Amino acid sequence: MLHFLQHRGAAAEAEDLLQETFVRAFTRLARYRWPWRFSTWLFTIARRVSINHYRRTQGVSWPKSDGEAVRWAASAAPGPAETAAREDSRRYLWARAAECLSEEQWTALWLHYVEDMPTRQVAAVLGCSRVAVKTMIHRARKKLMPLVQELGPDQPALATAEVSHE
Amino acid sequence: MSESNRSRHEQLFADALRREAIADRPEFSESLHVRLRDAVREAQCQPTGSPAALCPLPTPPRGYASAATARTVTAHCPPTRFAGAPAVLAAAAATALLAAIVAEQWIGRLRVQAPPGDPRIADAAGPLAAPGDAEADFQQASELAYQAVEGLDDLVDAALAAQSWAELDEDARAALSALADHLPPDLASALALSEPPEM
Repeated sequence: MLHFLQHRGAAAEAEDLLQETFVRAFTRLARYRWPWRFSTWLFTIARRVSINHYRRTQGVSWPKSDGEAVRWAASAAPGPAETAAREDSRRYLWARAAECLSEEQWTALWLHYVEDMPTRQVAAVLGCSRVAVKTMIHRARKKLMPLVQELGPDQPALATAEVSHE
Repeated sequence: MSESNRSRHEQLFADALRREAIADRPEFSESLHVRLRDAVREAQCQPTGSPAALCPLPTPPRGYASAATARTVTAHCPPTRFAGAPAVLAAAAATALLAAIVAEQWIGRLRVQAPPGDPRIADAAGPLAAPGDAEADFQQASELAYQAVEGLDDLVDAALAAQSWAELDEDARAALSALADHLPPDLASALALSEPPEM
């Protein structure tokens, strides 16, 4: 969760957001409903906490369209340390993803591939349909695949790969 | 998501993203863990009118990752954490048995469902077979199971709400999971309500 929040903005604020997430989750435990995974619920809270935080502190709204993707990355306003970190090869792909994807696409990609969350649960976090999540992931993959190929020349080109059904 | 269902291209893409994320993952921080624990404890001790909210938390075991703090909190409630647990478990067991019986009868009727005009299968079906009633039986079975699950869910919620304690009572959740395991997959998924988790 800390990792997720660190990638969404300034790392220094991630711990504050993490604390707010857990406190909010604890005080609202009564709203948790089975059979949803607890992690799904927690990530929903974390995402909204971070959105509200950046909207409050920087006065920007989180874009949903691809055309506004750059605004989302810029709105995080990374400091010099974060900029250097993002240029670090360890964060290259995800940093570039933050620059060329919308917030929803980035979140869908993270939850699906890093947190290994099924698209149904990702859809619950994002508040959209499974079809929408699959579309987001597909478009995000199309944008990032050239970067993946840059890192690995032996990576096969993304032709018509589709999001697999679960 | 099952990795075996992914295409090779998607798998390579996923591996690249995951590899980078893992390389960048922050280490466990004891200070952050303490900070989160204290923040949650302070939130718990805020006066809310509920006796359980004033209960101090015991010290959780060391070594828990920060992401497990919430789980640790709920796992370390006082020994008298849930006086109604035996009653809830008994109700859960009874409901699970009822749902299993209903589902088994439903499955049994579907298995001996005879297509029209096939006397051999119809003869082997026995007195329970009723060609053409499969849909009605399914609806009846699903209705019974749904009511059982809903009733159990309400019972658990009411008992937990009375204790003003975390809805993450692991015993009740285990009972509900066991109930779901006894239902047919399609019925279980149909009863797993599609509404998203609330905030």
